[in-house]
Amino acid sequence: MTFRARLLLVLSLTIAGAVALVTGAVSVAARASFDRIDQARRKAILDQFQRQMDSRSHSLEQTVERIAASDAVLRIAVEAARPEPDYAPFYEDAHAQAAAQQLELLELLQADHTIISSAHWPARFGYQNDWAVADWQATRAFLTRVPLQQEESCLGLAAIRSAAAGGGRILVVGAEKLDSRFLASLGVAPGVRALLWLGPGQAIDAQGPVQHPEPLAALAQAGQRATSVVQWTADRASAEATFALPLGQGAVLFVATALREQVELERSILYTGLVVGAAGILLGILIGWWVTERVSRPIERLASGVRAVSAGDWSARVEVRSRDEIGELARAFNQMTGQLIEQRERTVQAERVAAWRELARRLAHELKNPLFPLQITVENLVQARDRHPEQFDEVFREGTGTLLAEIGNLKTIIGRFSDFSKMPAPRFEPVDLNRLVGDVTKLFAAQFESHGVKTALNLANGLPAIDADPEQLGRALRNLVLNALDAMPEGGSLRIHTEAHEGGVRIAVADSGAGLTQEECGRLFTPYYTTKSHGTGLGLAIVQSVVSDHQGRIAVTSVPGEGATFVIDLPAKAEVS
Amino acid sequence: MRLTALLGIAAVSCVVGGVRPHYGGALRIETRISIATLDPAELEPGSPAERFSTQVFETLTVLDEHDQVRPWLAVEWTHDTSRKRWIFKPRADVTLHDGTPWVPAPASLSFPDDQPLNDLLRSLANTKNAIVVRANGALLGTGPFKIDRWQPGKSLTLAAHESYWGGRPFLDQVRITIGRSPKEQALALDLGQADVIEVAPADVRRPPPRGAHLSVSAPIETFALLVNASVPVNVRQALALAIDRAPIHSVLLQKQGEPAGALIPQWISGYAFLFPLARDVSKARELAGGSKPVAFSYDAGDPLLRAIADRIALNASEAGLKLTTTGKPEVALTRLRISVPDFRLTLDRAGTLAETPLPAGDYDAERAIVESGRLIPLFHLPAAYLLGPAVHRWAGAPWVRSDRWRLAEVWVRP
Repeated sequence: MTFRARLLLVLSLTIAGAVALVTGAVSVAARASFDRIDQARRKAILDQFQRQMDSRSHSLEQTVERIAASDAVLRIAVEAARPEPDYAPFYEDAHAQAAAQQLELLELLQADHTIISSAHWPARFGYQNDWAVADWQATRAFLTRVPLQQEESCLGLAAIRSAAAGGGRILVVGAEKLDSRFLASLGVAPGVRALLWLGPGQAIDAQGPVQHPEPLAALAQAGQRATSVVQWTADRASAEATFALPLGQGAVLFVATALREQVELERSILYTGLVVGAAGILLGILIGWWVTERVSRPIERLASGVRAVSAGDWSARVEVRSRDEIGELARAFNQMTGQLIEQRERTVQAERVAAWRELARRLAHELKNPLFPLQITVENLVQARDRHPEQFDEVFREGTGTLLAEIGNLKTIIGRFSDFSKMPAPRFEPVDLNRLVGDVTKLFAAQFESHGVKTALNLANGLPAIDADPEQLGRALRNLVLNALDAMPEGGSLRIHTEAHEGGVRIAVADSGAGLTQEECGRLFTPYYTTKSHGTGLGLAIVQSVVSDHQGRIAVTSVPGEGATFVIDLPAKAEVS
Repeated sequence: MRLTALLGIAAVSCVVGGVRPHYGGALRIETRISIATLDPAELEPGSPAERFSTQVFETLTVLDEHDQVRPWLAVEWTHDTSRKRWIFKPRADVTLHDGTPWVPAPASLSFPDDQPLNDLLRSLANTKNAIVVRANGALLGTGPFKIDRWQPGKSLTLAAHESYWGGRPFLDQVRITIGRSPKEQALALDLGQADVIEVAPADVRRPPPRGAHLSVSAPIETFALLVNASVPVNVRQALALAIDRAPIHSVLLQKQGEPAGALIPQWISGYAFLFPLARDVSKARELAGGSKPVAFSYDAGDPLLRAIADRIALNASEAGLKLTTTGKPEVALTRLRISVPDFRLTLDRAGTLAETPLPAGDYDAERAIVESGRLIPLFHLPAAYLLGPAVHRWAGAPWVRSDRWRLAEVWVRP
């Protein structure tokens, strides 16, 4: 990962993390605040519920007592004292009493709990009352489930009183529905509602039946005080923090606080956090871009300069725009490349001087050899002219012959130098390397035999033809063979090996001569350098020049005393420049 | 002694004069039924409207309280030896409501050979065979009252037929207010705005308002469940067995009428006791096992029907039958008015309702209907009326038993 990318990532993560932290902290604080408000509201409703229950219980007990003491009910009690009481005339009395006392649920019962008259379900006369059985002895109002018509039932607050007259006794059971009106009377604060769970799939609130109350089922069936968040629709804003208070008879009072405001506030905080975070990330990108422009870009320019230098462009320079550490580094780089160039120029100059010196030494050496016979011959001619004139002609003939021969040697030496300086560009054509090797070895067959050199050719079959100048490549091979023959004056073995290599071909020429030192190997291809007492030092330089012109590489490996091996790699297709 | 005798004669004369019929005045009747027509040809046998139609239109013969045929507009009749050709002699002094004499064109009636004499004469006594003269769209009868004003659905006013062959009726008018609820009727009686109102059986045992007196007929109406053919037979049987008639009779009907296993009351048919009416909940539960809810309908505007329907639903639920008030009605609580004394008309109508072919005999016909389960008899109920203090010659009149009104005999004290 680049420094720029890393810097951008770090900046973005830092800003996003900070925003997330702040957003989370604000959300938690808001939620805690809402929870406190919710608890206060819930307590108020529960207190109000308890007060309402107490008040209604008292009121209901008084109402039932009034009914039990009414003349109409006492007349029924008197009838109950008869041996065969006829309750038929009192069939509608419960309805009349309930209407008079504004009571919703009322039944007049015989002592054995048989219904004489029912206000809310008149058709139930003659049946047994089954909704107040468990609480016959209760003096206080109690909660119970009252059966209604159409297989319905309601939760009611009930009270029982006995009516006795003339030796007869009947029971009066009155009840009030705990319904939507009751819940509405609790007077809850806005955003809060009271719900009453009546049974599976049945729940009411102050507005009436609750449609699809299933989300409350789990909380209702827990049967204990508990608080949970009930979400009514897929929208989180529909959620309510719901407190369950079991009332008995399967009924549960729920106090639900709408979380809409809280959810909307949290959403607002979240959206704000997202917007701020996005803006922060954008700001981070801009800051990162600015910082990297100040820091990373000079480093990249520096890296580019280093790459240019490594590629050989020592003239590469890095623009210096700042005075900080990066600028100092760039200046140091520029200074380094400047010093490298100067160093290289000095090295080149020194090498050039050394080359010239070597050339002068070679030239002096090469020229000194023919010059000495020339000098001796001329001095002999002079002496013969002065001292032995009679022999002068003969000496002259011999002398001129020597002179011509040495002059010829001088010409040859000069010609070699001239040839090296005039190496022509190769003319490529498909060349069968194995055949070329064969031609060269045949050319030197007589010399191998005279020098006692045994040859071993290991030529790969199916070697691809390569683009090469056969004349120049043959000359390079000849130079290598000559070099090997020179290395083995006492005879030895010459091994030539060809093979396909990396899409091209490889040829190796190995001798069993004295070998070379490491330093000799390093300087072997330097023009005019030679390890031999004779020679111009141009042979291997020409070989390297030919190989280079064929986009190939040449290397030499040697162990002193064990001979040397020259390895040439040539591409199959040479690129003509 | 003579003075004492004269005072005694004077006192007796005063008493006798106090109960002597009084001509004039109007009888105000309130009813909850709706009267669509008085045309005898369009009335269903036993229809409540017959009570008013028979005041306007008369038949050639009538059936007396002992179910015997008596001459009415026809004073005598003869027939040929084969009893295929009948000749009726009309009453001589009969006039139509427009004052014109009723002189029917000479005509004879032909009947099949096997027509019993009594059946023919009884048939002529049916309201649907009453004499109606249709003139210019108006219906003219020969009865003691004629149609004075007719506001369909609201009120009907009958006026005395001055030249009625049986003598002018005591009443000048009979004003009938239609479609009045029981509460409205009771209020009208209390306020002195009505003379005759209908009383539900549940209210019969209540003490009447001051001065009013009660008139109760013999059972002439049957409460029954009309079951749709789509209801499976086992469900019909379960429903019939599930209903506990006794508590309904004693409480909701305040012991008025009688629980019924038959369509026709015992006092009319004489064989109603042969139809069982015992409840068997366990068998009903067995028959109703796994049945679907049955849609139940009744006239919600009738408090008595509503109370009975609620109790029936409660009884049915004990047997595992669910009666609901939603959906297309499959069971209906209906009132079937008995045509008295010719109850065969009622059986025919019941057979039509139950879509059951009827055999010739009355008992067999009734059994066929009941056993089809399409018509489940529940109760036979009387007609009960509260009469205002001014009404005379109503309670105690022989025709009260069959609820066939004869308003020509009624008079009101001013």
